[in-house]
Amino acid sequence: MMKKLLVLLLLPAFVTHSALAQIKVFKEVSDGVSSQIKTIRQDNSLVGYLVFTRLEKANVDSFNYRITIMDENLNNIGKVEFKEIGLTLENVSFDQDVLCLGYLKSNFLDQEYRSKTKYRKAIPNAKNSVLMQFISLDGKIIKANSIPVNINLEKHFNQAFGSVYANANLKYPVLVKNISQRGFACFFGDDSGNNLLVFNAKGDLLWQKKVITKANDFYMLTSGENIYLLSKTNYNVGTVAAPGGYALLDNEGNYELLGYRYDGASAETHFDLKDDKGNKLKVIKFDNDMVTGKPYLAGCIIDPKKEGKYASGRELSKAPYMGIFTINISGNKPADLQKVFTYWSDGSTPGVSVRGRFAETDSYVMFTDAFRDFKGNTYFTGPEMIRRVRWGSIASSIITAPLIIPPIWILGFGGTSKCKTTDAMVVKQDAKGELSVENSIPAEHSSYHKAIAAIAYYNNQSFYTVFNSDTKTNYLVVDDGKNILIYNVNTKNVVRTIPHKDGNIKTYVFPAKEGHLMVSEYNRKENSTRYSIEAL
Amino acid sequence: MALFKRLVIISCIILSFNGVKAQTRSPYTYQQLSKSFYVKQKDSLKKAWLCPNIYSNKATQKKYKELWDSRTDFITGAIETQNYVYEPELYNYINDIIKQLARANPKEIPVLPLLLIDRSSSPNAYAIGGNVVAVNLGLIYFAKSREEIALAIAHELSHNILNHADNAMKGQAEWLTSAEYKKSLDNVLNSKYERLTRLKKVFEGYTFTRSKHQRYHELDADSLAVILLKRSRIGFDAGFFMRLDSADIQYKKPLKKPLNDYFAAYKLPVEAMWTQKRTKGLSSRNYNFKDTSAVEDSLKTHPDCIERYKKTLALSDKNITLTPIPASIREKTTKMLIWNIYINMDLTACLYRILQEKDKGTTDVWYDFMVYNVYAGLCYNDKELHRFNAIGITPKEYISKDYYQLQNMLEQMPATSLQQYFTGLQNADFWKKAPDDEKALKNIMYTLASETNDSDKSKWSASDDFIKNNSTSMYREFAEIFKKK
Repeated sequence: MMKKLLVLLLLPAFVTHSALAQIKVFKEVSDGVSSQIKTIRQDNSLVGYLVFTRLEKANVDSFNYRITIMDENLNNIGKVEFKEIGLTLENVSFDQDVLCLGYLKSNFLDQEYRSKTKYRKAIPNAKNSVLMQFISLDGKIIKANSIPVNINLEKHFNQAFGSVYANANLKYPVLVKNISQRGFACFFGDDSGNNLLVFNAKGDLLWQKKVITKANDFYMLTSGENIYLLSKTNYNVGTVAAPGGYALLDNEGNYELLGYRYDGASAETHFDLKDDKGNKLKVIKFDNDMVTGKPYLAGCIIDPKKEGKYASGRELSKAPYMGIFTINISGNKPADLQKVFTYWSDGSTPGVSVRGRFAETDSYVMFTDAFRDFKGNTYFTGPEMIRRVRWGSIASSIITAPLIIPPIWILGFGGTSKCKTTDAMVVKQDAKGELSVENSIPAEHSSYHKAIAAIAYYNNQSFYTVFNSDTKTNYLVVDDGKNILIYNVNTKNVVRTIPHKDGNIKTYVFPAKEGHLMVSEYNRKENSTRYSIEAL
Repeated sequence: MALFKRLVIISCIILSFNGVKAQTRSPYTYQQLSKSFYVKQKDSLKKAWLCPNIYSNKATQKKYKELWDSRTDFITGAIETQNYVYEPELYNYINDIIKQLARANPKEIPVLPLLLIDRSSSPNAYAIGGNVVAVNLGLIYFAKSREEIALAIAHELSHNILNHADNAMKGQAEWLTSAEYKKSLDNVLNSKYERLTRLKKVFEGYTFTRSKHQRYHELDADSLAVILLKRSRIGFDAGFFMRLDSADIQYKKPLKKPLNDYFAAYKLPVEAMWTQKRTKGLSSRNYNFKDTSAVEDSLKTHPDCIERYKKTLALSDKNITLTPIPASIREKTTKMLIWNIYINMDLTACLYRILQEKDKGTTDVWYDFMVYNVYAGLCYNDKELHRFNAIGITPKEYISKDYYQLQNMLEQMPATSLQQYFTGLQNADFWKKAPDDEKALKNIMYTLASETNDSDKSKWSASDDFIKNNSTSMYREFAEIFKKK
């Protein structure tokens, strides 16, 4: 009479059926299914999650897809199914109850060919484009725009296991951001150049333009009516010792900021990203202030004589950076930048030596993240690095001093000093540029490494921030490889310590809705994962 | 003098009765949970439920045995995981209905079935063949009369009498080993495109047929149930089927007072902002995707309630006199149900049910004790970063406005306020009347929820202590969770 348990009894039988034919069918069908998970963001806040699943091949060049939409609490709220040629979901945004999805669409990139000849023969029929898809909250695809793209397929392919397939992609992947209450901005780069497009919430293309720059990396931000593109041009500046030999080093500066208006009314604006003396800036944060909603940049001021000499502990102790900066962007004109520079290289910052050593902790800091609080201060954070003498190395060199070559050999390869990362530093720069040490958060220390070794290879610390606009509280999440530390910036204390490994449970945290973290717990014994969204 | 003596004796008896009552007021003992209580029945089922050899085709027989064994595993597994409980008064009340049906229908029910009281809050009952029938606490809670419960039981017994479960297993075994099924799988493998769609169609086709038969079985069971009831002189009203439509709306029913009023009684302030969803997320938007969770009509396993009502309306008893369910049964069922929701750590549902009982006017301090347990559970889960799962966030379209506000409150209360609630309840007046085992449970809760002294060793020690001194208490089930493994 009620829902019968018998139905439930029948269900496990389907799943646990041991006939080989059925297992084979299930396996082969499931091999054709693949999923991508993306966060859905609006105005930089996480509002939900989206699972994009390729279900099956529908015909010779198209597939059946399903989009499953979840709210910020991981509750399923709906799904949409459609057919299209090969798609890779790149980015998702949300505004005015419309989801905007940016894909790379291709009838070629997913295909396998039996030989190079067949591969090359198929190239003229290749159709590659960026697909911008707009879906309403009642599950309708209200618009889909395809923008043809140029991808060099001739040169970029791989050959393996008797198949030839393309190993090509967009020069720069699709970025999608909402323009609050107006629509969406989309950026991508192909072999013909970089493109910026603006759509309204109905999916109509409002305008499109080429972004003329030779940059390698791009970051897009929208704020009010404005769209900003931060680009970085890379070039080699040297090498650093790394496991197995040496690693190439790219420059840290050479950022350019471009500004556009949503309505395309004004020309592109170029913002000068240098300090008042023309020194380049290393940007470690480009984001919107959560109080004003306006963008800001934060980072380090590069010493021009030390460009390329930043990656190892030894180099960090020789002041590759002259100080830190915050640049507030209030509009779309070059004059709409308000710059705050704090220098220690000139000895003007108490408690910090000219080489950037913080007296309070007797350490140098490799700043890797920055964030704003609710009072307009900018915080900088990163692992502290200490440098110590390798007495063994010095003793060896003294003992062998009469022999000239061995000491050079010992000193050149080993060096006389060693470095390690220790605790996590938090410093505050106020609106006037005054710097203060907020805290040194106890974290897992790395082991000592040669001073010439790249810090990146032994630094385990990573950071991100969570804020709660109701309680006006900022949290810094520090992952030191062993534990996840939740630091309350307001009260200056660690409010939670979550071990990564606790018995059979492995825990990780990810960004979630405002004021929350997504906690993932993998139980090794049960081979299951549990997710929850927890408030800080 | 003799009268005086009698009065003294009577007073002693009353006092001692109260004393005994004060020791524990939980409706059942730990040993009455199924893992202990039904251990013999579990072993008997395993031995007695041998799969008959009815197919000459080895593959079909093998499949039939797999399905048969999975049924056995289901019931024995459920017994093992404490899904059932034996509370004598409740058990006898339900069993008396079965006995009454059996007495009046000896041909159909020659042997009394094994009755299991399932602790689930879902208003449901089920029969799985093998002369076993289970009745959920949720059904007893939902029912308004003995006659409603009797209809549900008669319906389930009808499924057993008509061999529906066994026939379903046979049907499935035959289909899964049929040439037609194998051919359909081969067709899926041989197709280059739309393999998933084809595979789904294979199972949907089978499910469509099965569902159609299932619906006929439900109507057959309805018809036979009415006959069983009539012979037993138990009243029948087709209107009972219409009530079933509202069976799943427990959490859509509103509360009688604002949330604040319930917690004011404990002197616990509620901030308005806790109850308001302040999210920017999609949960607050007006989404309206086509509800694909609803089962298509062709795939429904049960006919719509209106259809069942119409088919049996003519058989309704005129001027039926309904027998109310005794208050003691209701009280026990409610407490057992709320405790089971709690032990499954579904804290919003648990707290909402408590508030609904308060709306009915209960002054039983047991519910205050459970409010304490809910907050202790929340504090503990918040520390463990499990608060979200313990609350059980339900989308707003499935719950009342009051449930939604309560859920928001439990989600958005700062950890400091949670601790404050917990500390406040720790010293509340109701503890004066609490029996020993409830006070002992408080020690475990304190260890779990307190911010200091919450090491594994402390938990083990608190748990061992409780089990040693309250081995028969219903609440031992909670202590067992934190025992050293």
